[in-house]
Amino acid sequence: MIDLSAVHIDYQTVLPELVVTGTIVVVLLLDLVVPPDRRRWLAVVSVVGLAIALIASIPLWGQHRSAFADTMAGDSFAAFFNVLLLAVTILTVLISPRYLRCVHLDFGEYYALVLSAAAGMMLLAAATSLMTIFLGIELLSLALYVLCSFSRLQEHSQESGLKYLLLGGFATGFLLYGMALIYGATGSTTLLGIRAFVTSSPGTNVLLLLGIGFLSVGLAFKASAAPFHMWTPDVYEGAPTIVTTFMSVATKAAAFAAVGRIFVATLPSLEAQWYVPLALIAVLSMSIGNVVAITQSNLKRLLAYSGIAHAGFIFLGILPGTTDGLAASLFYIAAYAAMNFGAFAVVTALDAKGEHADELTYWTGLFYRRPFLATTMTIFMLSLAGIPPTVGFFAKLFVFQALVTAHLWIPLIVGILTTVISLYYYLRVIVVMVTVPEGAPVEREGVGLPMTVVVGLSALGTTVMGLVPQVFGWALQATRF
Amino acid sequence: MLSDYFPLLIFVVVIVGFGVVAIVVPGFIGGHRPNAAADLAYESGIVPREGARRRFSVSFYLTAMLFIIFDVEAIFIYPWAVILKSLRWFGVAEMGVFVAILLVALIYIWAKGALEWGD
Amino acid sequence: MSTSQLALLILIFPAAGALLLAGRGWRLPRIVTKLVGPGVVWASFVVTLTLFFNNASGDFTYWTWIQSGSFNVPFNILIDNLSIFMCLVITGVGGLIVTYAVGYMDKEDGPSYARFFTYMDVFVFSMLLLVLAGNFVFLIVGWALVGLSSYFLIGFWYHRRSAVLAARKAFVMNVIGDVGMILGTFVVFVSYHATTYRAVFKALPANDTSSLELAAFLLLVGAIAKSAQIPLHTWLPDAMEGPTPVSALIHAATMVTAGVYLVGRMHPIYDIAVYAHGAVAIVGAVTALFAATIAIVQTDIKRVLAYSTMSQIGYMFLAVGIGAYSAGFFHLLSHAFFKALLFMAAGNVIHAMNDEQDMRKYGGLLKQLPRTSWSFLIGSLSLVGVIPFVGFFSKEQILGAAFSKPDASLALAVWAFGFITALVTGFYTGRMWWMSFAGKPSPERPVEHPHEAPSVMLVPVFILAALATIGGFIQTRALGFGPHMVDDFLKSAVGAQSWEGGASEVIASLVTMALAAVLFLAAYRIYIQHAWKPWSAVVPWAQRLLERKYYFDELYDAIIVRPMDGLARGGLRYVEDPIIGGIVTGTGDLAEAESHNLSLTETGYFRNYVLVFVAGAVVVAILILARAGS
Repeated sequence: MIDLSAVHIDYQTVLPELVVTGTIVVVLLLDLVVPPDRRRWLAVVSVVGLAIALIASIPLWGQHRSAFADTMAGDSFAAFFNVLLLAVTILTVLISPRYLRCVHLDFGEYYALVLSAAAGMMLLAAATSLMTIFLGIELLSLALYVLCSFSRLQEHSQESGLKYLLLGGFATGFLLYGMALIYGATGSTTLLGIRAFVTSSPGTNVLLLLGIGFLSVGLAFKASAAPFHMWTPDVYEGAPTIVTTFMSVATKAAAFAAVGRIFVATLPSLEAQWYVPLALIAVLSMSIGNVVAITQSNLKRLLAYSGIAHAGFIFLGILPGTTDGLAASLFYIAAYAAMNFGAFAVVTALDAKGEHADELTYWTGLFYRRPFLATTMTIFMLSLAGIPPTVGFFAKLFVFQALVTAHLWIPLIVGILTTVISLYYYLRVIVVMVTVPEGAPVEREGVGLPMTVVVGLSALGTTVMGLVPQVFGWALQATRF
Repeated sequence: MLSDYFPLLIFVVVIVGFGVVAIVVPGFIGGHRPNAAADLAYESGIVPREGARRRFSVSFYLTAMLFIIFDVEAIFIYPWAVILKSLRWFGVAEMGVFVAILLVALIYIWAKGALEWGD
Repeated sequence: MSTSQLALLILIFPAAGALLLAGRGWRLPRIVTKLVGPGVVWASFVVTLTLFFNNASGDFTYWTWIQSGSFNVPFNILIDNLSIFMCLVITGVGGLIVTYAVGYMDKEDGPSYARFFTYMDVFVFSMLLLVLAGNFVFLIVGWALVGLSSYFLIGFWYHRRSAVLAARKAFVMNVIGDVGMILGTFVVFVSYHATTYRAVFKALPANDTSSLELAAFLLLVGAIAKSAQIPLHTWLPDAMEGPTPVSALIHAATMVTAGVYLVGRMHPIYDIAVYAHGAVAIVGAVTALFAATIAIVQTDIKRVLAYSTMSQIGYMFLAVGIGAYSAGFFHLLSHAFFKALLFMAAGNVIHAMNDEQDMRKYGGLLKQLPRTSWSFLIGSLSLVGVIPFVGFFSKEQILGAAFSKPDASLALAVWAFGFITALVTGFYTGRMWWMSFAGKPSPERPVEHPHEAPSVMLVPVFILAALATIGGFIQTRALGFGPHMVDDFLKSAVGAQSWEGGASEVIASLVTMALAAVLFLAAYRIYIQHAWKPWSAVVPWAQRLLERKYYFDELYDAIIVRPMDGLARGGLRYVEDPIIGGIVTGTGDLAEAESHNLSLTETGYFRNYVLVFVAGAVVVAILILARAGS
């Protein structure tokens, strides 16, 4: 007789993930019976499933559960990310049907894949073992590889998916190698075990450090941080815009959940060792992302570089190795989710018309054609640039504050300087939008109620989140492991 | 500690040894009389009609992939079977869920026509 | 609804109105703008009335905005009798003025019309935020927002160069004040570690300290700039470039009195910081006289009113500066009545005269615009301070308080200023009224047969005329008997006046009134009958001095603007262009070039990507190992 109680089978911990997984199965089966012109119902079912999962995540808040032999955690941290990821996924699914119909990609698999990616991300955020981390990363990656090349007839999309797959495989190799080394060094795959080993044997362990290094490489790849960012612009540009919208926000959030769990919750005592490579990644990301973005003329590429830069900013909060710093990063992730999702959603809204909206020239005079989208886009750009009183400002403020508290001056200086540089290209988008266009005004056309609501919600979140201090309080509480 | 891995070492030695022996030894003890028939690709005694490098229908790869996927999933059932008795009904239920998901996948690929050879 | 919700509602109405008009205003029918623009102000007025009749009070914290160590900024609204009093003035008089604007701005086209009312509602919101704020941070937010909306409204006709320049001047002056406010708040926070009024006032020391004086003086800078007191006054006359309802609302009734409100709100600080408090009185007294004398020579009817506004606010400063807070606020109320009345009546005249503002080109309007003329006369007599108009009671209460304050030579000195100002006021007001409405029509008059304004512009004027006539009877303290409702109402918020007047005070008041009335009539002899030689012919140098407004603009030009210009030019030539510009554009160019170079690494080739990836991984590994080795 095997004693299963030692395994801690705890369905409440994985309930959100289970609900999402169940929804995948339902959506997959429904797709077989629903007629093509009713595919909207798949979106409805997905949203319902995601909403239930979101509700199921809330009871985890404030708990300290550990399940399945310490491989999964049900705590505030997981709840925070579950809510964030599920909200992003719900918003994505809401604006999907119209976009998919417009670009003739209205297939049921899309929803199953988005849900799978979401399940993977949630798993990653809750994972407290190298094995579950790997499982989460693979689940989200595999779904995203397919989603990137979802536009089967477009070469760009195929190229995007293939590049992501190949480089992703590469990164997974490093990740696994790192995990193997860590296991070899510590004899444990659970983060708890690793932490116990690290605290009990303080001496330098080269194998362990090398493993941590490779692990950070794999995670930095998922977070699209430099120098492991090369795929980002190509993939973001080539993938269908709605997929870019989703992955630019959600993947990064999930990857940083793992970074937080590994570096801040598990290995804070080794901060002196992992500080330099992580600081290098942060500094490089901010510099490369912000500098290269200047010359981009394609909005999706511009936002891709902006995303690289923001990955660097999020890494800044990890550097002190304290939970307060991590809370700043968490707040930054939430802020980034609101503003970047909004910005990409605006691109999606314009893209849905079959016009090539990602070229910056298309945006000339957008204020006169689509005042609502242009106004919200302005809010997102200002927030991404970190201009008060938007949430982007507060996010940067908190992260910088964490650096000041920890006396980490070099990353701080780079962060401030690159923030200044970033103004240049964010404001350029606004300038382009207010430039009076030549020629006859284009007729105005609606973008649909769901899109209006989603963009409006993002804009609202971008404006008020910084003014409501509870959000940072939540971030603080989420990092009390 | 390391001695735990000793059987593994023997295992590795035997495998490598068998491969090396099987390839190297015939070179010494077998004769070497080349002719046209002997240089033909060996296809289980059937005479090959054309070159091996030709295009296959994509359905071939699809079917092959599906086979491998379900094949790998089936492997999970072996360790489960070993401890089924001690898992009791819990084990049965868990495996039921597992198989049900696989079943959904099967229904899906079936309905999508992935198992048809097509034209 | 609870008081806290009602208090929030006061702010929400104008904010919602502004949002609606800004977002959809020009696409909605004009009638919506006409209803929403003034409607939201009236809605706030009704809510304020509810609070007023419920005797509401309290300090309501809605949420904590910033929490960083000891720096804690809640969003809290302070409801006490002072803030209710201010809200009543802002929404009541403001509602009348915005209603009046519905008629006055009717010539504007749709988008512009909606824009005007958007700004007006933004202004009302900001002003309400200013007076309702329960802490220094939101006080500054409201303070800056009223400056901003004033900037928008002065420059409303942005195609006029003079309007844009005036708006800029007002904004710069206001920002000087804002800086003072912000620095003052810093000092307060550093000294007392709090941002809410309640906490700060609780932490005040019993005796004067230098940091308290510093804070009080810095806050006074803000008050002076916002209320156009010497030496930061030069923006107010120029601000008359804005539409007349703006002049009535912002530059007479509400915004410019924010300085008085500030001193009243901060009275626990000023009661202790005696030097800063004295400075308030001196600034007020000097400004009162100074502005009144300039008003004598102005020919533009709105500029006369502008200088008169500065002068009257000088009275209020004088009052709060000697500690007669409720007298100052009574004058604020009375001034809101009669000055808004004067501005709107002047607006009617300007409207009838095809936007001509030069009084010399009016004349003889009494018969043609009788209703406006009589209303204007009521306003004028109120301004001069004649019984029974409201101006008499409020102004004489201030002068009486100054006259009778015991053991205070400062109070007596400022009383002398106030007394002379009252006489000058009688004269310039007479000159204004007689020139415009009496006598024969000027040969240069642009309109031969002017028409009265439409009723939407007349009714608010009448209402204010009625208020200016009977409003004084809520507080007749200047006569030594009768009700004193304003004093009673504000006692809980700003305290009671610590001394009582005597009979001599009443006599002084009556003498003042008589002399001012005589001078009012003397203006008739000079400007209409030409019976007496004009004083300007007697002392031409004084005339020049006043026409140049004591050379303040020239002085600022010489000591600030031109040196700054020179400095800026020199800086541009020797520092900015070669050094800063070199660095900035150099950095920009470098960043752009670097951007270009770096984007070249983005070849699209998978092999290159892998190369970078592996190189990165190797660097990470080396760094980690180097760290481990050391």
